[in-house]
Amino acid sequence: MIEHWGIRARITLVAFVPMLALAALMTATFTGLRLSDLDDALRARAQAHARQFALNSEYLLFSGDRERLQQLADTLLHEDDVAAVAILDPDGAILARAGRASADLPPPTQTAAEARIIEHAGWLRVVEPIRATELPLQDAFATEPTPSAEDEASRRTLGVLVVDLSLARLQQRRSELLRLAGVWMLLVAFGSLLLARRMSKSVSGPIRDVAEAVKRIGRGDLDQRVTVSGGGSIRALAEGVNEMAARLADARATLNRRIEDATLELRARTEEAEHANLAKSRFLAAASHDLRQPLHALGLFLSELAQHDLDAHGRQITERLFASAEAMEKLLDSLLDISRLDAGVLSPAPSVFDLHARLEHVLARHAADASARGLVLRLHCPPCWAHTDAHMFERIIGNLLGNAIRYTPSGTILLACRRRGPRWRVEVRDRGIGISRDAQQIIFHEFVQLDNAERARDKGLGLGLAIVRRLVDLLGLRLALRSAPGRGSVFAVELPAAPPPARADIDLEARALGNFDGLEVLVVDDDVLARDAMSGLLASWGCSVHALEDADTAMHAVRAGLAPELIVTDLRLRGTSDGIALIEHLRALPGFARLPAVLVSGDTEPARLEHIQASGIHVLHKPVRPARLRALIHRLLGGH
Amino acid sequence: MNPHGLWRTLRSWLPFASLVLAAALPCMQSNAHAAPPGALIVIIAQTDDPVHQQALGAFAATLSAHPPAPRIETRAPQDADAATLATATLIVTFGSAGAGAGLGTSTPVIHALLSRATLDALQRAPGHGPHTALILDQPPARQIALLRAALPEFDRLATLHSPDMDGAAAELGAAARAQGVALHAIRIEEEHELYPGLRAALERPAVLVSLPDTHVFNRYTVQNVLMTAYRLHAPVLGHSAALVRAGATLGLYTTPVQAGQEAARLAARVLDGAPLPPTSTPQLFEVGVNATVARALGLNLPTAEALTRALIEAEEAAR
Repeated sequence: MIEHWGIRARITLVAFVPMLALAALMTATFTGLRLSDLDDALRARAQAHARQFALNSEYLLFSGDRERLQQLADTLLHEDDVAAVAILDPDGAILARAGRASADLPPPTQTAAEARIIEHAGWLRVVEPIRATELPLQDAFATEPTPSAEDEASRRTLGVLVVDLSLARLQQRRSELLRLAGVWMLLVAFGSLLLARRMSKSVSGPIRDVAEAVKRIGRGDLDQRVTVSGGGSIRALAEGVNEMAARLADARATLNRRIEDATLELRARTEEAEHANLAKSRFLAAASHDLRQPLHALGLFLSELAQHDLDAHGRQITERLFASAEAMEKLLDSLLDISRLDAGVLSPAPSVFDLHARLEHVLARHAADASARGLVLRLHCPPCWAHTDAHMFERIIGNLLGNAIRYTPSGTILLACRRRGPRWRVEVRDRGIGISRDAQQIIFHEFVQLDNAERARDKGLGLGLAIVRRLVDLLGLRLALRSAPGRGSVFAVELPAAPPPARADIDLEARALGNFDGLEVLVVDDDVLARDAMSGLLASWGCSVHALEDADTAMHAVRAGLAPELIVTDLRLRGTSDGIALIEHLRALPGFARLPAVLVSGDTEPARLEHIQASGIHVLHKPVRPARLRALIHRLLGGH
Repeated sequence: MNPHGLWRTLRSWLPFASLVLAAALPCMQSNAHAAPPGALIVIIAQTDDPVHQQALGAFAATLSAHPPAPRIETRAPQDADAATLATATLIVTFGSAGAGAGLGTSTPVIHALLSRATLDALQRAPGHGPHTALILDQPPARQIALLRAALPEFDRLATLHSPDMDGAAAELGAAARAQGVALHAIRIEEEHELYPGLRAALERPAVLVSLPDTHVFNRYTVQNVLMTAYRLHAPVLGHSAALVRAGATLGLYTTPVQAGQEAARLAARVLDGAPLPPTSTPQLFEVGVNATVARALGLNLPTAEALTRALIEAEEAAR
């Protein structure tokens, strides 16, 4: 136990125990001596009284003066501790008696003419023979024959004195003495404890100071210093602790400086990278917007042109124009998708859908491309339903399929689906050129195209797999790639399986298109070319079009009595107001609260995309495909 | 040196010193008779007893003053065998033990240094040869005479005695009556009767006369008896010097030296051919006075010497 004690406790023990032992020893010794003295003194006093009494009573016994003997006995009773006195004649008859002896003592008898002291149960009995004083008669008659010693003793003995003393007072003195000794012991113990603690405090104080300081240093207070006092080891210890604290403080200051430097550098780099990324996004947004505007108009014009009667050559040129415009549109779509994904403005709308139908749809969309390259597309899929965002999933599979078609020279591309636990695993398998293990790490990066060193645009921009990666991450799906050069590739996507819904959703695009004859449409666009193209297209669908150049004009027209049934507006308008504000202002007018509206935008800038999303207005991104516009109008007008 | 050792040395040396003294003073005893040549006196005495030594010294000194001095052999009572006693011309015994050892022989015996009571007891035993005795008890007439001289104001005497001393008490009573003095004698059979006896004897003013009665006066009773007498304002006439020292007002006694001298004179006469005289009381005596006690009792006594002289003169005049 003692090995766990502190310095203070140990010093206290070392100082306290010998002192206590000495005090105990001395108290025990002196108390013992004193007790023994008390005992001896009582006996001596008792004997002295008895002898004195025996002397005094000798003549009274000789003369048989019982009255005086009684007086003498009564006098003796006044002495301390004397409880009873009895005087017996040589035959044992009681001549005088005083006081009351304890019942524990036998009644006094003249048993032997010898002085003795008997101690019995808190009583002391002194027996003293009373003898005649011997006076030697040195004369001729003394040579008479003398009687025997025994006879002589009996002749000599006049009587016996029996004094009973109570030891109660002695016992009381003893207990008082013991109590006093106990009190002294306690006082000495207390005093020595105080002294020992004081001593130990003076010894352990500096060490405790050092320990406290070390504890505070341990908690990080490196400015803590110990007051150096005393000498020897304690001084060395305090100095050592101070030096250690100083060095620790130095080291910490150096470390902090380095961390600050590194943090500053890191911040600079991060800002640099953020600037670069922002610049890239701005560039992409600006580029896609600016390119979209003419392409949008071109598409609308081509749609209108196709509705005119053309000769065979004109129709061929128109078709090629369509193809070129569509290729350009796809490239821009990819750029726009990447921009939107990077901006994080796309939020998935998961739902239960017919996976088999979706895969068939994707396959059908790519059938023309495949057959043009002499490839065969096949689908192996049981009837199945899954749960995720159907459009985004379709985009993933479409991109993978497009990729496979692009890098497969000949043969069959298989689109397979099979159950794996609670998931469906959809695989796109080709027998194409394959991807090396090194290349597998980079193909999901933007603008990476293997085997397209010449950057042929018919092979796309190299954004397909980058978009796939982003969409898969967004939807929380699993993507796997198994491939080897010359052995083809297998891209696999796993998505959660779902039970078939009670009623299948009817595909929006499968709906038959309605007739818009006489529909009053307000078209607002500050770009003349785009405004004219949109007006022409809508007019070709039978709509009554009112084309205006900015928001104020449009508001004036409506306030002046124009009652549009639909508004199609560009997002960016000349003046202070934009498309969203215009739609909101119109809807604020009486009778237009539920005015159907279509927003057309070529913006890919994240801030604007977020703004559009927040408004809740339907938006079509430039270049707008006429079929999509028609479907949206149909839906807005309650065609579904 | 150890006092006991010194005492023992002195005791063994004393007889020799006495003999030397006797040889050096041949002409001191003019009335001595000449002893027959070749006579042997065997003395039976306790040679380690100082009283006997004093008596022996005086005996030898007295005898040696009358040439031709007889040979003297001293024997302790236990060494006194019959063969030794048979060779003796005369046997002298000192004390009761010596007297007992000297019994049963045909040689003439002189018993000295013993009381009448002892002698009476001895004589009651059978087998006695020729003997005589010099007893220590003072003649009652002398005691009465002393009292009349010293304490004439007291006309009443008292004494206590055991049955052994009936005879002595009677003699004392007779002597007192002869002198016109009353004696109140109390007979005591048990020791505890002492105090009541004393009270009774001394209820009226009287002089307590002590008898050599060991039942009344012994080393354990003497102080209390003297104390009682003193408290009752009774002067005491003691029978020994020791009693005077212990507190008796007056003493009438024969000292050991006087007893030795008296025995020597008798022995010389017997050796000269005189017949053994009957038992006799001592001729030589001394009076003792305890002046302190006398003063305490308010008595005005003559000196011891004056009293002794008066007694001697009175006795010589009477002869």
